[in-house]
Amino acid sequence: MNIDMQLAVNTFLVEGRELAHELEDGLLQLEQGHDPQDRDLINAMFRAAHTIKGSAGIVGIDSLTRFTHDVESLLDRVRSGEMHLAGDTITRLLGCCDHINHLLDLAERGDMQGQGLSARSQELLDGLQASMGPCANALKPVVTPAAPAVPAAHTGGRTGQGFRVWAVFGKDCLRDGMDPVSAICYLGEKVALKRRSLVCSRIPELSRLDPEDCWIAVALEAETGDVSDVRDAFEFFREGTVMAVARPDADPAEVRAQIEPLKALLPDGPPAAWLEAGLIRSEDWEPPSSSPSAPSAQPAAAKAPAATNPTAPANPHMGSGHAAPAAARFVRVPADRLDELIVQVGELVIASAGVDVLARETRHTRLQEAVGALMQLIDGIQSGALQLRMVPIGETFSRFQRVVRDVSQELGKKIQLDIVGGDTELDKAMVERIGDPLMHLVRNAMDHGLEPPQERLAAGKPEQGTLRLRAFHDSGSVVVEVSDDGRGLSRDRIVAKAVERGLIANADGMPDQDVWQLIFEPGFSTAEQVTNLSGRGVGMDVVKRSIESLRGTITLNSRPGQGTLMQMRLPLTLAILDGFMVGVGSARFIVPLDMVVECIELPADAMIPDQAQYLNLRGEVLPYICLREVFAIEGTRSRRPSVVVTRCADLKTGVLVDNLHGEIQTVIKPMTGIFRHLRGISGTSILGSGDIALILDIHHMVQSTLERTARQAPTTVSS
Amino acid sequence: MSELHTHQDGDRLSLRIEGSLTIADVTSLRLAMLAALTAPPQPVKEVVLDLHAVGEADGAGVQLLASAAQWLRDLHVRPVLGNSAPGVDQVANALGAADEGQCCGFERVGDQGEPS
Repeated sequence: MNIDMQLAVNTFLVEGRELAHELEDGLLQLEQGHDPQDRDLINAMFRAAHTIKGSAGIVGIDSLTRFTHDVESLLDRVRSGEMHLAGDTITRLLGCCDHINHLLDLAERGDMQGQGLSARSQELLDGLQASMGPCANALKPVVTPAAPAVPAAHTGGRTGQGFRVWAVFGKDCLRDGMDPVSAICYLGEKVALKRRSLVCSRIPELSRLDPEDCWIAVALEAETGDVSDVRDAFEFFREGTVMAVARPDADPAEVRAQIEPLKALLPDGPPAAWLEAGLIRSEDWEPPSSSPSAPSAQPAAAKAPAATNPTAPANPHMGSGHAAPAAARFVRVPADRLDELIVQVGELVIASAGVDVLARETRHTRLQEAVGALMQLIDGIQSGALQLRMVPIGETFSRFQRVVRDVSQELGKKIQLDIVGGDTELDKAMVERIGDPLMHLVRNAMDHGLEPPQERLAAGKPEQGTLRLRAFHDSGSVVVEVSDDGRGLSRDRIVAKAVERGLIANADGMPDQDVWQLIFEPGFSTAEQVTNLSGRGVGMDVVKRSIESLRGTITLNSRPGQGTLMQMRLPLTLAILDGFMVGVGSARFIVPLDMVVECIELPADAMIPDQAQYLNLRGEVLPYICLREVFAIEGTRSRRPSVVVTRCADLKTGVLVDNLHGEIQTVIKPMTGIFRHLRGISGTSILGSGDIALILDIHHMVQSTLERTARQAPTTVSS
Repeated sequence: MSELHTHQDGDRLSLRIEGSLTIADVTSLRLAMLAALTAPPQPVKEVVLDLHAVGEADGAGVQLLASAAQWLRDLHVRPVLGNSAPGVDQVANALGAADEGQCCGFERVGDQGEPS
């Protein structure tokens, strides 16, 4: 396989999975009660299957072309109203979506023929055949790479009065890979095309031609078929393409109404090629001058009812007088290129900080101004680069629709998935890494949290349980929640298990919050029946470690009989941090800027004499952390220390430091090797001077301080 | 990569395309055609196009041929198709740019046989 083809395959593997997901999403919507007559949804599903088949054929994944052909055929019948999607058929098609993904996996490993999965393919296709009933003869093996064109007139299967089409294709069609020839050939397979004619005179002569621009304007006449065939054939031609369709015997006024939008693109009047071929008459273009009282084309069209008008536009951009609205344009970029870009930008930030330090030392005003301007630009580049990698979490959430469906069926429970805040954005790297922990939490909630229907009804709850996935931004972090309205955690069972495992001696006086945290201990499980979903006790500690490795935290809240809430708090990105730099002696520390509430010189009367860990700040009592003590930095405390007030999960905490150095944008160098398990430090940063600053993990520091204070408190009391 | 070979015999210029006639080829073929047609060693009255060695073709390829034929006629040069190719014929037929007498504006004069 040459490099170009390998690139095409790689691109298709990504696109194919997205399309399979789109198809699956449509099926799930239908299953959840979406209008089965929704043509937009059915068409979108058909297009997904159609594109998978077509693209797989182009890149040579024959197994997928063969398999998806039948899926496409079934959806085509749904689209034409011959059958409806429901029940078992949806389940079978969902199985086909899984199989498409499996075939893509095999193709990724180089197996284009799907060896080893042919039995499963046949099994699924047999299932589809059963869904389609006795007239399922439409499902016939497809000949790859392309089935020979059979004139529709010979198939005997097509009816319809025929039509005439006039099309002027968008200038970028060819450049975008959309060749009108392919669409016409496809149309020719479905209907009997009688005449066709290209307007050669519209094509600029050779010396003025940009050969990648599309200047194709063509008229076609078919003896069979109807407007829907035209729509199917040309549905992918959107931007810039204008078409008109009319019945062969449509009267000139009707044709004029339809053809009106094309006139701007064919300013020289009816093309001679079309006139000569009999594909248009002069009166179809302009009303005869001898009948000035003839009604104008537009009112004639307006009189015809839309539902029965044979000249009704076949596409939104047909006969509407306007090209289709420009679709959002995207460029697909390999993730590793973005990662590399972000690393490079990180290095640029570090290097520019070094230049800034040197410029300040020179006391050269113009140089400092120039460097200042440069820093601003780099700041913009950095923000832009990071933004490139931000993706909405909704796509990850929506993948759980299928999981919830399958698992609830398996467990015999009725569960509805509620997604909130799907447009919340976070770093793609983060999205990829929270998938597994999220999956575990979702399965846990379904398996242990939500009750079977009888139990829910007995408890006075609706039969259907609700599982909610929610995301939102909060104080520079992303919060992802998994909650359910199930039975909640059982304090007694957790305590009993913890005592049995020797994790605690007893739970007397232990707050609920601490009891809930026990389930994050390694090997902890209260599940009485081990299922294939969860309950093996090897999950929650792994989930916690996964979240913590992302510089995140996980907390749990539960109310008996009302449900459980798992809350993950994650940083927006793992790469770059806006921070506030402080100093203790010669050491430098960086506090994440989003957590900084204010920075002030410590007032002389702020220390509370009998409460060593608390400050009185303008009447507000705050716990505080003294960095000099935490990091055992030698020397004496500054005579005029400062305090950085931080907020973390609604808890304000003071951080006592010697000096305030101000805001800094920094590239995070993660802690590696033996330092990776250090609590309270989330990474390091290389400063412009070459020194290293530690990035503080305020959340962990506050937690540790509170735990230490709590441990010390009983001692104080007892002594 | 497609190639354009030229050969002039009196006032007849022969153009032979080898390779494919698709959007991937049209930019370079256009430049090669312009170079051949704008600076022939002698004045040309007839350009004979030989597509015998063309495999694949698409809409962009047919469009290029139609553009070239039109330009030649504007220059009072007769565009002639010496040998066609199934791939080109198929695309030209699909677009309605060919009939018994011409293909993409190049007049058919019958199969000229295997080019030497």
